[in-house]
Amino acid sequence: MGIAYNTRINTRIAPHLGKLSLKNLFTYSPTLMLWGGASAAGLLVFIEGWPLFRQTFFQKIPVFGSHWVDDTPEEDKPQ
Amino acid sequence: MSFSSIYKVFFRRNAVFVGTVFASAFVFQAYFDSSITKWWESHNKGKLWDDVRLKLENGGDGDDDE
Amino acid sequence: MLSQIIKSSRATSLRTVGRTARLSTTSLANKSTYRTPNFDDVLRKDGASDRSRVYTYFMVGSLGLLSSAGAKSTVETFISSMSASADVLAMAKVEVELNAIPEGKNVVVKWQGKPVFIRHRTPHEIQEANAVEMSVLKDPQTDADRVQKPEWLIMLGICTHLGCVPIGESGDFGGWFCPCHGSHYDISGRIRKGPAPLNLEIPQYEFDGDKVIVG
Repeated sequence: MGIAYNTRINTRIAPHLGKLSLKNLFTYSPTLMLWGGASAAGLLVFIEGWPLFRQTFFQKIPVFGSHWVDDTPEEDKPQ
Repeated sequence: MSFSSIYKVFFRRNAVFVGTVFASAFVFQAYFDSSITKWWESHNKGKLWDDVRLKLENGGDGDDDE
Repeated sequence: MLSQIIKSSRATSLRTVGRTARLSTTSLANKSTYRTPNFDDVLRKDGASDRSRVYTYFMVGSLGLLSSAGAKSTVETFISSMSASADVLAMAKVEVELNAIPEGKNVVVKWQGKPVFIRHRTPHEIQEANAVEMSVLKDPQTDADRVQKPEWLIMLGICTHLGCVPIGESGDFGGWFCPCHGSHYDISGRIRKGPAPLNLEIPQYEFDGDKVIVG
């Protein structure tokens, strides 16, 4: 028996999730951050009417916060 | 600001475009809400509960017998 | 304008490298020797100013703005229609005159469709409730945690086992007894014997002079 001199190519697969690998995740990160900001803004739109968020965040916006302050007198509220 | 720079700042990246749209939607909602309310209240001046209550507090003016 | 177009279609020129690069996207096309029309005459002077692009994107963005605000409004309308209406909220509280309850008596009132037990406890009963060792309790809780004023014990009259209504002034511990499966509660409403896992629940309430407002 002769000795096989041809060796197999030694390859390793970089860690990835589908098409996403660490390297291109790093490349995408500025875009992803911008998308994060965009989705935060989208979230803001949809929680605008939620009383909890009105009281905890929106009323505390410096100049325009008064828009979310409910100035209905206590006796005119249903409860 | 030239059109090219507007394009470059707001529209070139889709994320910025969508973000701007949502952020201005948030501002728009509040502005729209308060301006419509203001219009409604001026349109119905005298018929609102606030006006009626003022009238009642000043002693009914003989409207009670109706 | 029309004459310009006719003129430009006539005035075709050999494309030279770099000169009309604006119209082509690949370098291969730049090297092409095909005769292509020269559009320079009809191109706008501010053709590269992105004016029409900005206009188009602005319109698209405005549509997006209006539809997201509209979508949010629609969603909000549906969600707020699910919350309690004013007549339900008006029923959500119940006021009880405490003067009418003599010492050592139970009163059951209905609150949000559930029975609420109010007991005017005697000093002896308060002492008894405070004397219980925590170690014998299944759900350890001091009497002080369960009452705002020791003489008034206010709790939901729903057995924590399967939701029957316990009977007052009965059971082995001088409190409440659930006839369904035999749970015994003491004078503080704590579970002492039987299958129920927890003490009787305390609703939110506050005292207002001689009245108590549950809810």
